[in-house]
Amino acid sequence: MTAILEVTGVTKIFGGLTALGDVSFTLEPGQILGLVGPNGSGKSTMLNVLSGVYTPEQGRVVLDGKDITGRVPSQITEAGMARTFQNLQLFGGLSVGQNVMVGRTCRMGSSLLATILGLPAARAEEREARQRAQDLLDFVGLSDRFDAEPTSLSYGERRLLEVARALAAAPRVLMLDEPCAGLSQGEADELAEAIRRVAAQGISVIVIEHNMRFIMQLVDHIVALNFGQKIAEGTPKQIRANEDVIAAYLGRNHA
Amino acid sequence: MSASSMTPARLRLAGLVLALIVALGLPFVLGSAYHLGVAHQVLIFIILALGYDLLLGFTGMLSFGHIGLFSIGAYTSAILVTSTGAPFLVGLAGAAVLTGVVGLVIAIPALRIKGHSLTLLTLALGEVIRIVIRSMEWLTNGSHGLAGIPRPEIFGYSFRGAVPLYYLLLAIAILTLIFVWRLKNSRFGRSFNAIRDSEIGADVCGVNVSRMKMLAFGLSAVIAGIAGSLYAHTVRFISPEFFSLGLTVILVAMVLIGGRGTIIGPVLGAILFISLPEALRFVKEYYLVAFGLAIWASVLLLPEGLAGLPKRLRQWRVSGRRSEVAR
Repeated sequence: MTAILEVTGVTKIFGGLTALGDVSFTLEPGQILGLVGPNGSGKSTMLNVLSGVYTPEQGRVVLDGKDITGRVPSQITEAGMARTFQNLQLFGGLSVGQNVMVGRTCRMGSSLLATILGLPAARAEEREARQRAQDLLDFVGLSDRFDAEPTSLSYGERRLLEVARALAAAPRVLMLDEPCAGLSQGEADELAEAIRRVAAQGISVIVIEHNMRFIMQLVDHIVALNFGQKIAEGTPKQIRANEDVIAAYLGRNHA
Repeated sequence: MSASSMTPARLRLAGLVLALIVALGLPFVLGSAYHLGVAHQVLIFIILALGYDLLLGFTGMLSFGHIGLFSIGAYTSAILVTSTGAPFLVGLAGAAVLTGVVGLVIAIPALRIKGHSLTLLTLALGEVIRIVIRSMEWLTNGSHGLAGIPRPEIFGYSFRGAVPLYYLLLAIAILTLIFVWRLKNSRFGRSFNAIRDSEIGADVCGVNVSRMKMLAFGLSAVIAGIAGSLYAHTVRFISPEFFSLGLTVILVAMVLIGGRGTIIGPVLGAILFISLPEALRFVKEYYLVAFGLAIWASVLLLPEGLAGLPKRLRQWRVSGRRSEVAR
């Protein structure tokens, strides 16, 4: 199977501090990849580089054979990579369903004129976006909340809403930044189930997560970072046994 | 059928039909030319405020330069029609195009700076526009203002009379309303709102933030140009003093107190802020006190503006019931 995403030699430096140093990995279609490491290891920086929030000093990000390094976030989303945020970035002034519909923006092409005049093609596109938003809300278990305000959702539901919104862009790669933060164990299990169903559709998933139990039971493959360097890569089982990873998490003395 | 058994959508439709009937019948109720003149102003400011809400309410950008665009529209149209003898529609189109271009030019720095800096920049630009208009005496007649601007005439039909002019302004106000409403319920309106609520969130959702900000600026500027042209041809006399910072503040207050980000809000705000000073004229300059108190009360009690009143009332009723239960 050929890789959907190839990350090669990515380096990101903040004022002399190397947040990411020459990190490479690949992702296959439908694969769930865990990005792990202690605080400050560069996981979030990597996600920000991949989603276009940061531009790397060196290295390349190639999505499905296309170099997307240095593109702005909206272009990267259009190219097929969508993400969620650790600190949620929902649109509080829009309804739950409209939040998902915003995620669909880059797949909509009706002109301003066609929209204002209410031409049939523009109406059809709007209806379709609405239907897709409803389908995605069904998918994450928020079926009857289309017209609700995002603030009326529980914390876990808001995370699911962000997942639905990211999926609305019909991505090839979905990136989740600490999706379990603030979730109960039950909610985390539901989320893991939703992520598995996403991957089963052939969408690759990158997950950053502190909750090791969540990561170990969910992902196929793990990339472990420490101080901006890749220290290990492998299956959850291999990573659990890796001495460098144990040392990074617990300190050298415990290894 | 009692009011409580009606769905919100039906209630809204009933309100809309009622408002339309009132708007259509108003000239028959308002006998005097003076009152019709106030109604003209209300309609022009409804158009201006609806366009301004695209920036302030929809996209979350506070511009203090909007009256500058309004004045460019008024002067462009007035000069085109009075000095070249061009038809009204040419003046209107010229005003819309020129303000649209100026709006896009203002938007370029707006892509880089945000928040208070943007507001200060637009404040400065608005003042520059006013000063330029005042000093270009050969074109604008400076601080003396331009007089004798003709009433609109479209394909030979003159809107010289107060009643026909009222219906012309009403028609354009309704078209603006439909325009903003269609925009709001489209990917464009959602993108504006998304930028307002979380710019980074909008960006990673695939919203082209720069393009959408330019669009919001451009569209609101074009509407300001149209409103300016209508103002010039309605009042028939314009001078730089009218387009003052005070008017900018009134425009901002209209949208904030009416309810930003909504469609009904700017309409209510324009009606309130134009007709109330006239209605309160008998208390002379003390109307400013009443005005101040009204603004103060609405900021405290209605942070979402008048448009948020029904929601507030529901909340108050629910919390009232809860406290009764708690007792």
